[in-house]
Amino acid sequence: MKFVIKRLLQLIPILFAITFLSFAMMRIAGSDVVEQKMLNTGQVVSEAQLNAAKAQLGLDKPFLVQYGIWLTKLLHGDMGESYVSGKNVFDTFIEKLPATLFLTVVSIFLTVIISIPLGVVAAINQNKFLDYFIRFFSFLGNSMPNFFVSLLLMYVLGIKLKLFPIISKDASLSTVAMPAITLAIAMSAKYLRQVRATVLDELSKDYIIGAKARGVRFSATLWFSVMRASLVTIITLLALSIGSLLGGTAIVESIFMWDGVGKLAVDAINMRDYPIIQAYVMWMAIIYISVNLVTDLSYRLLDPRIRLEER
Amino acid sequence: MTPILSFKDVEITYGSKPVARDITFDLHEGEILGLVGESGSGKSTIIKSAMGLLNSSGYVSKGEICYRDTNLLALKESKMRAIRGSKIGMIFQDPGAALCPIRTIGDQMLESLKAHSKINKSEAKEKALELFDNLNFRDPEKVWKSYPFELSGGMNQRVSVALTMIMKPEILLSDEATSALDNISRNQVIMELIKLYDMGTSVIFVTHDIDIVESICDNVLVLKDGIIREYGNAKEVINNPQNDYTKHLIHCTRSLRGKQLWHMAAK
Repeated sequence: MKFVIKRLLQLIPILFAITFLSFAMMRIAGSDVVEQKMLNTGQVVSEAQLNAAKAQLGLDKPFLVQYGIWLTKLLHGDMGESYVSGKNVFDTFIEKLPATLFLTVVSIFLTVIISIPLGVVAAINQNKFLDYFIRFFSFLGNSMPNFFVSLLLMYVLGIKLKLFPIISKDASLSTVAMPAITLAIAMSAKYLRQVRATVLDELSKDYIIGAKARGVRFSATLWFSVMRASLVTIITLLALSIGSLLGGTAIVESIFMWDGVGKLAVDAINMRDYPIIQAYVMWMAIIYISVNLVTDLSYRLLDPRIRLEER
Repeated sequence: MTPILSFKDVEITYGSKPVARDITFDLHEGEILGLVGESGSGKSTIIKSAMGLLNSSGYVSKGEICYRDTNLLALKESKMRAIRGSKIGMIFQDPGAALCPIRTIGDQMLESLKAHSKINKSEAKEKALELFDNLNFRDPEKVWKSYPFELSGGMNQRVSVALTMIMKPEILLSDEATSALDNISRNQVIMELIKLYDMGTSVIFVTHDIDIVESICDNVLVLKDGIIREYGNAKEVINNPQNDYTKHLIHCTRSLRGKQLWHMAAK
């Protein structure tokens, strides 16, 4: 418990640092929402009009003052309004989250049920036909970029077989299928190799021979010893992916018009919509801290050596 | 009397290279057989071959290994599995390496017992605690709940012996079970092995410790480069070695001990 509280307290300085950095970096990037909105329309805008619009949003103030204002509002529970839509940032964010969460859960689920069994099967059949066969597909999956897989799936599953809609109007099982499969293919291809390597490493340990010498079934050793030991590595890898998925997958979300936070972030960055970007950056920090926390807690559960060391 | 375990003209090959040849010996009921030789002489390979525990590139390329009347080499894996542990037990050199590091001793004991008989957790625990007690383990309950890394090397090896003992095998293969231990643990483990022997288990004792062979083994088999150099009654072989290599091996041990005695006397 003490450990959890300590970790959560660490979140505070991290959030300060990260919001400040992103604030600074967006200013360095040049341009701002007013220029993006007015100049990109192609209309002729006078300098006075631009300055007035900037002053209205407070963009004319010095950088540190802007950050100070934003921070004070945040500490009062107000994340501000989007410069583009004028809607409340927090509400906008919350509105987009379910779609991203849904996509994350489905794609991680698919990844787990594809990569773990295949990785284990490849490991126990090391250097046999089945191993080579599985590794071939892993290689294939690894070498195809996300956007290519997306287009391939759209063509085959959407246009030819008409199984799933190409553009998702809402978040449902049929619309999540293609983006989730796209993400799962890339992740499974990567994890499968990791699972295989981890399981092989575990299988080479002496206790495997020890258990065999006591007449313990290989399946029992595999499930209760090898898998449990391998899970520590597998969970670490999955945690990293869960983190990046919860941050939204800009490319896949954009291709499938999946209305999640990834797409929101990309749009916000393009428009220099600072309040939304700040919210996004904070969200990412919170995700990574909490995913790491959950991962560390699960290690304790799985590996008694870590659990008992702390006593 | 038919031997309980017999090797007949066994040849063991790793890759394409034979590492042990013409291995023929018998283990009778109630016998302790010592297998001696320097490192790399093929001692461990020979006993591992009887358990079907050679690593993937090793195999028995010739001969028969029989447990009573059954040729172990012809058995299917499922039949062989039933023999491992319950009929032929094995203890390894590295204390604790035979145990999974992330599972408790109790958990692994239960798993081993369950592999051979229908038994529930409380029955297994009762049986184990009784054995621990019998072996004079301090705080048996704690041992049952411990993870291997919480115990010392010597204690881990004693647990390994207990884990083998609890299944009451007819044959015990001890693969240098005492060579990684300090003297106190070594003696404790040897006493426990003798207890197992008293329960009616025949033992093959792989070691390079001539003294142990002399004090506890009935017969001895001397190996060098995968070939049997001498095989016979332990006391006779040690006191009156015929083969040059055996003479050399015994001379090495004796002269070392002589030097130790000389040093002690000088002090």
